[in-house]
Amino acid sequence: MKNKFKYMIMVFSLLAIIIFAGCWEWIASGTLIFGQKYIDEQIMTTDEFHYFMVDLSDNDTWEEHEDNIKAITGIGFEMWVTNNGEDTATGQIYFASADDDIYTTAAEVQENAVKIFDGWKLAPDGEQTYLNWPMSLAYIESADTLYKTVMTGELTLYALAENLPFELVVDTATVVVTVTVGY
Amino acid sequence: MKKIILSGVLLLALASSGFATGVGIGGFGGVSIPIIQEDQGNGTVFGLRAKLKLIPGFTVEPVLGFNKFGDADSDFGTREGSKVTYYGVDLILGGMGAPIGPRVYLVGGGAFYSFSRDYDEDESRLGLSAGLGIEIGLGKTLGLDFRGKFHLVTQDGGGSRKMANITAGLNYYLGM
Repeated sequence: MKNKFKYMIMVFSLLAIIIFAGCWEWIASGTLIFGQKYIDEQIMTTDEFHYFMVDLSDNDTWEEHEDNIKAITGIGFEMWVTNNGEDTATGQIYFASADDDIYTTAAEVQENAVKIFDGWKLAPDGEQTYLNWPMSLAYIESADTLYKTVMTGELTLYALAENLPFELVVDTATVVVTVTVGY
Repeated sequence: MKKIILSGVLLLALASSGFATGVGIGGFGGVSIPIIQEDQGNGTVFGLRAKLKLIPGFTVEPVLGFNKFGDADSDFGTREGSKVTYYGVDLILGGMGAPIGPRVYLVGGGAFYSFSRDYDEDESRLGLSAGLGIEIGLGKTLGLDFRGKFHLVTQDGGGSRKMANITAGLNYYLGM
C-alpha cells in the first residue's frame, strides 16, 4: 500500500511538472496598469475640437513590456476639465489610427473617427469636473476596436463636445491602459 | 447551473451504485490573493464540494466556488474587483475520511471560471489548479480541512489570471 502511494505521488508530481512546463507562457504572465499623461498643464480650447497624438513608446512600462504584450484589456481616462461655457457640455472622445490624416473639422472627426467615449457631463460656469479611471470606464464605447488599435502603440485622440463650439480648460488628461503581458 | 445540477446527480448516482467506497460533502471559505493582477485586490472565496472515494488513496472532488476580489487601488482611482464563479473537478491524492488526527494530501484539477465586473465583458475560461492541504479528522464523520491552492485561468490572446486561495473548511462523511 505504501509503495502504491509513493508511486501515485511520483505520477502526480510528474504530471504537475509536465503541466507546469506546458503552461509556462500562462504562468509567466500578469496584468499591469499604467497611465500616460498627455496634457499636464492648462490648455484652453475654444475650437471645435482638440486632438492629441498618443504614442505609448514614450511610456516606460509600455517600452519595457512592448514585445510581450498579449492583449489590451482596458482603456480609461483620468481628466480634470473646466467648462467655462454657459451650458453643460457633454464630452466625447474619438480615435483614429495614427496612419490616418489628421481631421480638420469636427464634422470630419464625427464622420471618420470611432467614438469611444461619450456621456461625460461637464458642469458650466467655470466649474471644474474630475473624472477618474474607474468612473471613465462607464463612458467607454467600441472597446474591442480601440484595443486593437492601441496594440500598435500609436493613435490619434480627438476630444470634442456635443454643443459646438465649446469653451473648455483641460487641466490634465491621462490615458490609462490595462495590459496582459506574458513571457 | 444545469451543469452543476447534472454533476450533483451524477455524483449521487455513482455513490448509490456502489462505485464509490465513500462519500462526503463539505463547505469552505477563506481568502483569495490575486497574483500579478494590478487590477484586482485581495478578496474572499467560499464554496461547496462533494467528495467521492473511488479507489484507496484517490478521491474525486466536484467543487463549486465563488471568489470576490477586493478593490484595486491605483494612482488613477480605485476599481472594484471581479466576481468569479467556478465549477470543476479536483483529484485528491492522499485519501479522505480522516480518522482522528491530521492527514496531508495533494490536490489538483480543472474548472470553468466565469469572471464578471462592471464595464468588463463577462469571460468564461478554462483553468487549472493545484495545491496542498491537510485534513484533521474529528471523528469518523467529520474532518477539518485547511488548503492552499494555486489557480491559473487562461485568457484570450495568451497570458492568464492567477490567484492563490487559502481556505478552511469542514467535511462531513457518509458511509465510511
